[in-house]
Amino acid sequence: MSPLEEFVNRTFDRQVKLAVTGLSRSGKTVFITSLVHQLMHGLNSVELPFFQMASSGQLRGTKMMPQPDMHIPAFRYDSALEQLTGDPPLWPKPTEGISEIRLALRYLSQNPLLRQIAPISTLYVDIIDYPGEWLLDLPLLEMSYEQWSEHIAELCSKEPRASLSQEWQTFLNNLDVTVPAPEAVLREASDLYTQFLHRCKEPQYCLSLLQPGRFTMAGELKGAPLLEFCPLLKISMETSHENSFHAVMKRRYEAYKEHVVKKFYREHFSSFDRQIVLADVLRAFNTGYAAFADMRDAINQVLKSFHYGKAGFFNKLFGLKIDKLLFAATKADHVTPNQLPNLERFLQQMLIKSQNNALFEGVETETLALASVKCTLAAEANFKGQKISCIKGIPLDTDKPVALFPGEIPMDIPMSEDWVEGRFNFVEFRPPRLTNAQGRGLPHIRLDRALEFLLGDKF
Amino acid sequence: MTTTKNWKAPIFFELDEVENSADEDTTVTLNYTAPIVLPEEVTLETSTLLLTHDSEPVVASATKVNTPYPFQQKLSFVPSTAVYSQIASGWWLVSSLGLLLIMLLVVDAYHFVAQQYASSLLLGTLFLILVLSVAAAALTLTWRAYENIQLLKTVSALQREGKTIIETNGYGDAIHYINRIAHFYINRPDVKARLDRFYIMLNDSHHDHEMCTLFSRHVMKELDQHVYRIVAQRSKETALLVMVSPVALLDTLLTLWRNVRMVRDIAALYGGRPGLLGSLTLMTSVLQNLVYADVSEVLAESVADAFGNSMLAVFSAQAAQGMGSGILTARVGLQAMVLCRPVPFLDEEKPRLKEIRWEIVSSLKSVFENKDTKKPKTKKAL
Repeated sequence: MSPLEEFVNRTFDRQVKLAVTGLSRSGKTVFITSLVHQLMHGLNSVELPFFQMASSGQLRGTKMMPQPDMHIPAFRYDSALEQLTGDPPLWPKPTEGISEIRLALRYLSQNPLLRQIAPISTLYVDIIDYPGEWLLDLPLLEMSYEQWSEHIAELCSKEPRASLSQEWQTFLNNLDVTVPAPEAVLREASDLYTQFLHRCKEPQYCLSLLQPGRFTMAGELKGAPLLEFCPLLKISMETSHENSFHAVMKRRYEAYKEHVVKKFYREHFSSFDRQIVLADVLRAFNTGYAAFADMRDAINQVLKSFHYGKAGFFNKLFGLKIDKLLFAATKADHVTPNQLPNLERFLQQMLIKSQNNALFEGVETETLALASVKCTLAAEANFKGQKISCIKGIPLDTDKPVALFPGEIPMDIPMSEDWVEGRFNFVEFRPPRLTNAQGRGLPHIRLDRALEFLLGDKF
Repeated sequence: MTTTKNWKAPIFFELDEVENSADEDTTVTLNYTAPIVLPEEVTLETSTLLLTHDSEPVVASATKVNTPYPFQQKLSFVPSTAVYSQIASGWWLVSSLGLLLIMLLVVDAYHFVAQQYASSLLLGTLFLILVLSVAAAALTLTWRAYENIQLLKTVSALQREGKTIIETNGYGDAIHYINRIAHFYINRPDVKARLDRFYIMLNDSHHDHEMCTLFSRHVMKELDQHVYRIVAQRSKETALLVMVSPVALLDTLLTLWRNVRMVRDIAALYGGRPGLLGSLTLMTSVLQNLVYADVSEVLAESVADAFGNSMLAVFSAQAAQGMGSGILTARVGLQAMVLCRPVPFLDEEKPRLKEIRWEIVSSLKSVFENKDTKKPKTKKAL
C-alpha cells in the first residue's frame, strides 16, 4: 500500500490503528492473539454474539496482511497460538520487542450508497504489540531531567521503595554530584538503580511505575551506554562543572529521550484511532495497596501521552486522535461471573482521572471486565449451608483441576489499612486445554463486546 | 451475600461437590467444546430445562424454574383502597347481571323443553339435545376465551418480569426467564433454529442484561421485523381502503375490523393465540394505552402529520382521511407489538412510526400518480 493510499484509507474509515495499551504482564499478547483468532474464525460465528458484524454474517473473512513497516518484526501470532493451544497449554512468553500485525477484514457493506459501488469492502486493522515496560517511557517526554529526578526522589522517600532503593540511595548520598566522576562510578550508580528497579518488579512487590522502561526490558539496547544513567536524589542549583556527575547523567537522559523514547513514540504511538487499556487488577489486589496505587498512577500517567479528541473529518486529515477508549479489566474469568460488575466498577474508579480527561475531549469511553482466553467454568457449591458460586479450572502451580471460591471484589477501593496480608488471594489459572482451537474461536468473556465497541462503527 | 466477606478466600471444594451453574445446564452443552478437560466425575448436564418444558403447558406448572422471584412480589402493584372498592362494586354489578341473564336463560330453556315434552316425547328430546349442545359449545368457547386471556396475562407478567431483570442486571436470573419465553416458540419451526443458535451463543459469564439483549437480537428481531411489516402492510391497506370508500360509517367499520384482525395476527405471531374475546381485551388495552399515551408525543406526531401531509390534503380530503386512519392503524399496531412481545423492547429496538408513515404517504401518492396518468377523470370525493 502506498502512503497516499494509506492516507485515503484512514480518512475514509477504512483503516483503524488500534492501540493495545497495558503495563507489563497485563495480557496484551494474549489479547491480540485471541482477537486475531476470533476474527479469523469469526465467519458466521456463535462465539461473538455481541460483535454484530460477525454474528449477522456480514463478515466475509479475515486475513493477515504484510505489515506496512518492513523494519518491524511481524507479530508472532502462530507461535503465541501454538503455546496457548499446545499440550500442555502455556501462556505466551513475555514480549521482549516491538511487533506489528495488520488484519484485513472483508465485509458486506451496509451503506446503501457504497453498496452500489462496492458491495464488499475491506477494513484494515493495525495492531502493535510491545513490552509494557516501554510504555512508561512516554511520560518522560514531558519531563526534564531535574523534574524526573524530583519525581523519582519523591517516590523513593516512601515505602516500599524506600527500603528497596536503600543501597542506591546511600551510594548517591555519599557522592558529590557537582564534580566530575569517573566512568566506573557512573556505571555503578546506574547499575544500582537498575537493580533497584528489578527488585521492584519482583512478584512480592509488583510495582508498575518503573522508569525508564528500557532498564527493566532492554530489548535490542542491552548493554548500550545509552542505558547507563540514573536520576538524582537532590538537585543542586549551582552551575556545576561541564563534566560533573549531574551534567553527564543529564546528557545521557536527554540522549535516551531523544534516541529511544521519541523514536518509539513517533513511530508507533503518535497516531491511533482507537485504544484499549488493559489492566490486571487482580494482581494488584493480591500484592497489596502499594502495588495497586502504583499501577493506578502508572496507567493514569501513561494515558496522558495519548491524543484524545473527537474524530471529525479534519482531525482525520491532519493528525489522528483517539476517539474511543475502552478500559478493560483482564482475567475476568479468575473471579465468579457475578463479580464482574464489581470488577468493572473497581477499574472505573481506579482510572477515573483518565476517563475524565478523555470524556472532556469528547471521547466515548467504556469499562469492561473481559477475559481474552477464558480458562475457568462457572459452578455452584454448597458451603456452610449457603449456595455460593465458584469457578473450576487448573491453577498455574498444579496440574489438577480444582473448584474454588476465589473471593469477592470490593465495591469500592478499600482503605490502605484494609489490604491486610492475605485479604485477597486470587488464584492464577492455566490456559484451557482446547480440543478444537483450529475450528472455532477461543473461549472468552466479553471480547465480542470489546470488539463491537472498538470496531463496530467502522463497518 | 454479606457473610462471605469474612471468609478467607480462596476456599477450595471437592470437584464432585460443586454443581454447574444454571446457565451451564441450559446452554445445550452437548455442542459445547469444554474449554477444560475435567475429570470424568464432573458431569455436564444437557439442557434439561428446555427439554422438560416441551410437554408442559405454558400457563400452568410451578416448577423450580417457573417460580416467581422474591423481588417480583415486592414490586407487585397494589391498587389503593378507593379504586379497589370501586372496581369491586362495578364487577359485582356486572357479574350479578350476567348471572341473572344466565339464570333467566336456563329457566326459560327448561320451561321450553318441558313444554315440548308435554306435547311430544320426540320433539322434547330433540330440543333437549339442541339446547344441551348449545350450552356445551358456549361453555367450551368461554373456557377457551378464558385460557386465551390467561395467556395474554402471562405475556404481560413475563414482560414485567423481564423489565425488572433487565433493570437489575444481576447474574443467573435471566436464564430461567428466557427458558420460559423460549417455551412459547418451542413448536415454531421458524423460531426454533434461531433459538438453538441462541442457546449455543450463551456462556456462563453472560449477565442478565446481556442475555436478554442477545435473546432480543438473535431470536426476537426477525419476529419483530415480520410483525412490523404486517403493521406497515395493514396500515397501508387501511389508508387506501378508507380513501376509496365513499361512506363515512363504512370507513369507521373498516378501520375497526382491520385493526382487530391485525392485533390478533400480531399476538399470534408473538406466541399468544387470542380468540375473538382475547383480541378484544387486547384491543381494549391497546386503546387504553393509546388514550393514556404521552399527550405531547401524540401532539407532536399529529402536527408532523398535519404539516407533512398538507400536500396530500391538497390532492384530496379523502386522501387525508385515509392517511389519518392509516396512521391510527399503525399506532394501534405498534402499541399491540409492545403489549404482545414477551420480552420488553430495549430502548434502541422500539418500533418507530416514521417509516410506516413514509410508506403510507408514498403508497397513497403512487395511487394518485396512477390515477393522474391513467384516469384523468377522478371521481370527486364525497
